[in-house]
Amino acid sequence: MSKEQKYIVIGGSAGSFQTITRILDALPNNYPHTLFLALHRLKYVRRGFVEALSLKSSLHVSEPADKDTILPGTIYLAPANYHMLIEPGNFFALSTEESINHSRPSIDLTFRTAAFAFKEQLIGIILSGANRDGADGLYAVKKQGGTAIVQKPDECQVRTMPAAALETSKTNIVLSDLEIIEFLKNI
Amino acid sequence: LTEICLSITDFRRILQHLFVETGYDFREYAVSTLKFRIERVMKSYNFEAGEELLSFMSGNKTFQESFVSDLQISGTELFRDPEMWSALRKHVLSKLPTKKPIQVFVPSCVSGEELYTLIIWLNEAELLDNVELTVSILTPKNELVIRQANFNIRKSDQTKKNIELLDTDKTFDDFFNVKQDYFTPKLRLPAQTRFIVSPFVKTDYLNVFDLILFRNKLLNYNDKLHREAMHVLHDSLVKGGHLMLGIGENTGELFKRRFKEVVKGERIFKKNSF
Repeated sequence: MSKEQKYIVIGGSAGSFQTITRILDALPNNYPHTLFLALHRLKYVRRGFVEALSLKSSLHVSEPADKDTILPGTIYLAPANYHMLIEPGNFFALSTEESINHSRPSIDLTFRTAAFAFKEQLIGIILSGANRDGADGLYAVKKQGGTAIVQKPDECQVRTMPAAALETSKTNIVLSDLEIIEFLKNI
Repeated sequence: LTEICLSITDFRRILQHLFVETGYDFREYAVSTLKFRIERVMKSYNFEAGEELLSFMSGNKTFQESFVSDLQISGTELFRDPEMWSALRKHVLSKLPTKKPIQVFVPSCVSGEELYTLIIWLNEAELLDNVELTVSILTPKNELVIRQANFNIRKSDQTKKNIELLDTDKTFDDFFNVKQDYFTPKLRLPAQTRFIVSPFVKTDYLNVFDLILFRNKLLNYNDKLHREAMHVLHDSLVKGGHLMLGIGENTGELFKRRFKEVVKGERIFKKNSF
């Protein structure tokens, strides 16, 4: 593994849960990088999701509170009914800004603010989903010098989100879920 | 979303310029949300660079007023976090002493979603007639919006869902009248409501309030303003008074020992007496 700290932001919606759990399951407990999960979820169900993801991971999974410091080797899940933004200076800002693409948390907002904060240290990944949230965010990741990855639309349960991300970002890194896992294990 | 990406330098220049021209001070707000809002305004005016916004703003009172409105984040839905509201009624409202008027403070109110939720809930707890309400707002325009209380009909489904999850037999129709494209609370503001036009952190109440509703407002602030706001909140409360923050918010390290969380995770805090 390289010594440079990386930040990985993953966006997903309908059909992405299985891939997310596979990724979390595959990462070792000494994984040095930080993951941000911007996943569409029910607004009024505050509990249970982070616990379900924790069962699949040897890393610490948490929902950050506003102004929490971002730590290496940690997985952060965007809390229900908040946007999760990355504030310059390595900490979180939550927001009750209106829904974007009918979504709060918005994948685009997490990706955009992470891209601005981490530039080339950021890897953005868009998985399965049923709307175009994340497409503009992945474009921002690429524009700020980060690595933009899209899960192969044909293997996704719902291809709308990765197809939109592919079209908008024009990234040429299109990987299967197994290839995404290998990529993340080897950075 | 917009493709515009404002530099931090331009971001700070815009806020400084706004402060000098209007006196409205957003300079200590959290960067990421406010930056996004400014970028969205820039997109709506087809500005590509911060410089264009700066020159358009200079001396343009109409734009300045609408820009200040755009920078304020309004509430999301009514009865957001129903578990918190149920816990508030059970653990706080039912135990408030009713011998003297209950002093309630709602600082930095923008559009009234949280305020009317509290009013409805105080009424359900049969406390509303005994409440003296103070509302701080940033601009006089906020008072008009709050008094009108016309909430966008798009927020009604989520509000209905929230009410279903409350510890009550009442329904959305018990609390609201539906018009064509908006809904409005059946209850209006109590007669003893006082509006003060002031940035919240400039208020200087000392040991006045029994209850302060400040949910999801600290999110807008940077670390420094967060600490200042917590000082003001702490000082404004009577000993044993209660503070409601948003579920995603914290009091901060400095104030951990000065408050006790009444119900774990619901962010209802009681001011300690030491």
